[in-house]
Amino acid sequence: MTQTAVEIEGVRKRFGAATALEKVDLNVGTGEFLSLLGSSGCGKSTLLRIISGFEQPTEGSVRIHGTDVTRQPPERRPTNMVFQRGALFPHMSVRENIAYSLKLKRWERSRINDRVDEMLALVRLEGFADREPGKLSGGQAQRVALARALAGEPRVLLLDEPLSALDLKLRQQMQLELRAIQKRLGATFIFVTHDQTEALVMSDRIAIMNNGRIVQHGTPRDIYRRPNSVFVSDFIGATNLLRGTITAVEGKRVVLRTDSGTFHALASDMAVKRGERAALSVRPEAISLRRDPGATPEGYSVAGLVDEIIYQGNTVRVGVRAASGAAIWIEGRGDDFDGLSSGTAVVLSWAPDAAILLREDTE
Amino acid sequence: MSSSAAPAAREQSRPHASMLPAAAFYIVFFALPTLCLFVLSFWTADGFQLIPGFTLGNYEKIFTSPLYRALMIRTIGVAFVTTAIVVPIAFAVSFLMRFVFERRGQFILQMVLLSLFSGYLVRIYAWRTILGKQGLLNSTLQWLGVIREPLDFLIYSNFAVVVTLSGLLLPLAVLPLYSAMLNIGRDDIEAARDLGAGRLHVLRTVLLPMAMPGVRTAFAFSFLLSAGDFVTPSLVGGAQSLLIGNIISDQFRGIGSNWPLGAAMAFVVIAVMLASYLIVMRLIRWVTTW
Repeated sequence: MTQTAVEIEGVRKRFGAATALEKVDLNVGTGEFLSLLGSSGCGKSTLLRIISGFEQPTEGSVRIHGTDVTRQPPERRPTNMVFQRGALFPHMSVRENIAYSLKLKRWERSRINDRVDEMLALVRLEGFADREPGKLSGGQAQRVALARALAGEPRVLLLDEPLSALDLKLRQQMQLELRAIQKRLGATFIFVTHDQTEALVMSDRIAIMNNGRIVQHGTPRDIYRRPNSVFVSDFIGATNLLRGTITAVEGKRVVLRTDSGTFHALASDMAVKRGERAALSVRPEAISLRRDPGATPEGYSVAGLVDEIIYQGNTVRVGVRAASGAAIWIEGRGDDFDGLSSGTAVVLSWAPDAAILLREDTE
Repeated sequence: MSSSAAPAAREQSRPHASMLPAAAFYIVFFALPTLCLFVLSFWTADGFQLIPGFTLGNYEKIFTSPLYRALMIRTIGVAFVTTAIVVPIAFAVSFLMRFVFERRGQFILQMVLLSLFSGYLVRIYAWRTILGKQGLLNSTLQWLGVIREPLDFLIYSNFAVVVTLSGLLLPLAVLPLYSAMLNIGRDDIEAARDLGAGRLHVLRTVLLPMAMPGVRTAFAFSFLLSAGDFVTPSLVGGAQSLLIGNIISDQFRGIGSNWPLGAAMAFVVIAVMLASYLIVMRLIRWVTTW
């Protein structure tokens, strides 16, 4: 991170009695692709609207490239937004839409035309300049919205779930395209989404929000591998949570007793005490399955019966019911589970560092 | 966060076979009578006797008579002033209903509709009791000590005609404008502001053009109905505030009636109003392009 593009400091937002944002601090680096990820109502859109100027924070400040913009109206801020529905002006052609901010900046006509053509090329819509927005497909409309927002060279581009209305195939293609455009321009993007896969695929960094707070931020890899809470580990990707009580602590080694058995884990950088409630998160793809009960690594395995086998094409998910009744999901390549059927007795095991100890969320 | 405007709603609907009954109705009850009236405007009258023929005499009479010309100018003036009051207020009310009161906007709409349930004449008489010499406004102002003598321009004047017509037409102008506003999303306004437009510029380049179908209808309602009205001027207007509608209606009833002359007057009014409408629409288009 070279320079900070956006600094959000102690931002709090109340709507009447309801609190939408609870003391949010966040820095976004120049040229960074940051996703604000969370389920609906977590405050991610409110935070984006505070950065764009459509909402005023109740407390706290927003700085963009060192300038305090907290009290600036949206039209004065060096940010532009891509809206969920595109919000293209229906009475203007594609060209006029893209030229809107440039005309306001009183650029010369020839310079505006060149810039519009450049933007259309960027989003691969050459030849669409004279179309009416009503005659564009959903994906094309969002590309035009992106071109319109980028035309005036905003210092920060804000994207409010711009792909959520598109179908899966197109969405995946647009994710890569958007990422490529961001890299090419070296622009700062803040992207709001509720889709964790989207956030993982596109972002340099993800900030996960819940109940008006940023609960964890880091690279996609960090967040996936080292979630800091049950909420995050559950929200990002699929996981198995084994909940129980800590019965022993020896240095970093922790013993957790759950209904499904007693497990060992490493408390990497959190202080835990005996008797505390905790959960163990084990990703489905980190679990291996064996049919012979043989030598099982004590503390890192659990026995059960195959309950469900779900064929997903390239992968297969297998649900195993432990003696306690808890369902544990594992996932692997299709042929890993050939010959398995419902009721087969199996042993599930994982590497010691695959199990992540998490404190139960206090709510 | 949500917005109701679906892109499909913005698409222009195409003519369709299902419109045939409406077209038939329109032809039988509007186009044909209008055509008859048009033919009539070239005839002459002798007392109650209509004499077919072809003469431009009726039109000549209208354009050369200083009385008719003055009435025509006054009518257009009253219609313009009324429209200039009604349409901006209706636009503002519709905007507030759509973007400020939101859900309660529907309730306000019901209230607007409710006001249309009370009859046209009833509402004119209501304005008389407000504007009259001993009316609500005068007596309140006197009671407050703002004025000593009743203001006499309040009733039987051009002022009274304009105020009453504005009151009558405001609900009618709100309906099309509110319905047009429903097609504008909050994000359309936000997108414009985000791209650097100040409030006035948003009004000029986004709100007004997007609400244009509603503006057109609201303008037509208030301009055409106020230019064609003759009941309001005869009930709240003075001797100096008769409108062309009063003279036209006189040509069609009672002593001294002259149907061909009335028909010719009606067509001159139609032509003038159509021209005014086109000029104003062109003017708005000029304001909204930049």
